[in-house]
Amino acid sequence: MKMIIGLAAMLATIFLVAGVLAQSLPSNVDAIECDTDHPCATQYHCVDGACVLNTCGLEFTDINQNPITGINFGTNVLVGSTVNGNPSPLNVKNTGNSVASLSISGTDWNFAPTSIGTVGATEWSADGSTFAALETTSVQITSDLGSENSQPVYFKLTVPLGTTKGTYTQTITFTAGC
Amino acid sequence: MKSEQIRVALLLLPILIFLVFVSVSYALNIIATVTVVPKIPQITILSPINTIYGYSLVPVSVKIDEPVKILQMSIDGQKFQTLCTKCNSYYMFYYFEDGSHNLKFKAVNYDNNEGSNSVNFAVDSVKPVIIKTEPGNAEYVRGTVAFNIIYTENNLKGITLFYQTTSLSSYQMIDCPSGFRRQCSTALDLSSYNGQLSYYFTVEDYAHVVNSEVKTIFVDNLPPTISVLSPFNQTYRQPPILNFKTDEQVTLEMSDNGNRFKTLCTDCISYNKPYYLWYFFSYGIHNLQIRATDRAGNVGYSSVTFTLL
Repeated sequence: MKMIIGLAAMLATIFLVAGVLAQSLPSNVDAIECDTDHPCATQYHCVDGACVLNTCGLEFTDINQNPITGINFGTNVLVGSTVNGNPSPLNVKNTGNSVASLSISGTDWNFAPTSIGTVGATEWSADGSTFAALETTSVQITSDLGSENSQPVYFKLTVPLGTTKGTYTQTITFTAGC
Repeated sequence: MKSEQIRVALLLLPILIFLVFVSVSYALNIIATVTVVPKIPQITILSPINTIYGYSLVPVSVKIDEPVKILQMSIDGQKFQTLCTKCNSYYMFYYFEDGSHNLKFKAVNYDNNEGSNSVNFAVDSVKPVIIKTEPGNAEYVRGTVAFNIIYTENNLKGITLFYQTTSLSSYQMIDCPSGFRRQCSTALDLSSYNGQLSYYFTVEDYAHVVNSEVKTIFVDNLPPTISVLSPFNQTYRQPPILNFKTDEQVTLEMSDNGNRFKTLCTDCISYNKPYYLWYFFSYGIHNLQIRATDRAGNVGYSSVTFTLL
């Protein structure tokens, strides 16, 4: 038993060292230097010949680059009707220092009398024409959103029949992978 | 035991580090909001519409923008009657009496919100009846001519006189009354026209247009001319022949020495007789006035003087 543990510890140590070296240092020989033939390791990207650690960040703005804190679908929306989100589009800006993938997911609305399965009442589109129902699991919008670039996202909502009068919310999550 | 925990930790550590480095991501939430107001069923009344129907059997057709629990209708303020349940449309023919009507619909959806709509319309199923028009067919007229119509219509919209001389003209008659055996007239100045004139009336209520028969009349504003072929202005030893001709059908009359006119012939264009059976010229001077009256009433005159010895 002790032998097994010891062997495991040894392997772990080797894996640790290899992992740290693999993840914290560039893959090229000179560790922090990079070029076309010598790319950086995962989570790094090459800037002026040096590997720089990737950072992730997102920001919501409208088309005028004004910060946005929420999406408003309206205040007098009839049951059964379909309305567009405001702002339209919502710009999701990559504030990180590297190219990022961008994904979207959401929660069910807290509609009454029932909220179950209402996440898809919201639909999103990256081009304003082809819409897809929002899901609770992440769906990729783009795989290469450049640093400081924005991805427009359009929303529309169809209020389910039977929804009673009230103000309702839904949380929409954007995830950047970098 | 402690050493084992350390070993396990050492075992898990690279995995944790790997996970940290490989799955670097950043998530940002945004809250979407919406304020929902009650949905009221929208009732669209396809039929009837706000008009006057020329028939009594009128289709009632409505559609609703969502399925509703119940759809009801009230006719002319009466109690609501259920048209259908669990439906979003309705179609049926209804019989309506002549007159104005109001239909009100209400629908309750599954959220118990009520929508309503209404429509006003009228039914006039009886066509106007034209009883008589004047002038009569083939009648001769002159000057200012009265055109007259007698009709029955309880909801009269208007009467128009159409007449054709060299071109078709129309005249919208004014202040024509509604009712049973009503009369409406207008006068047209035809004093500058001679020839045929065709005319007819149209009588309209709010659902029908009825035309009268086309009549042709003759407009004659010219007086007939009389040719005196005999007697001449001379002396006769026996009563002369009276020989007159005209250029159109007339009633021909004659006055002798200022006495009242006596009819020589009617609907004639000439008179040629040696004497009257009932009239005898006395000896002396005779001043004859011949008068011709055509079918339009135009009058022409001629005269001749002779002496009978």
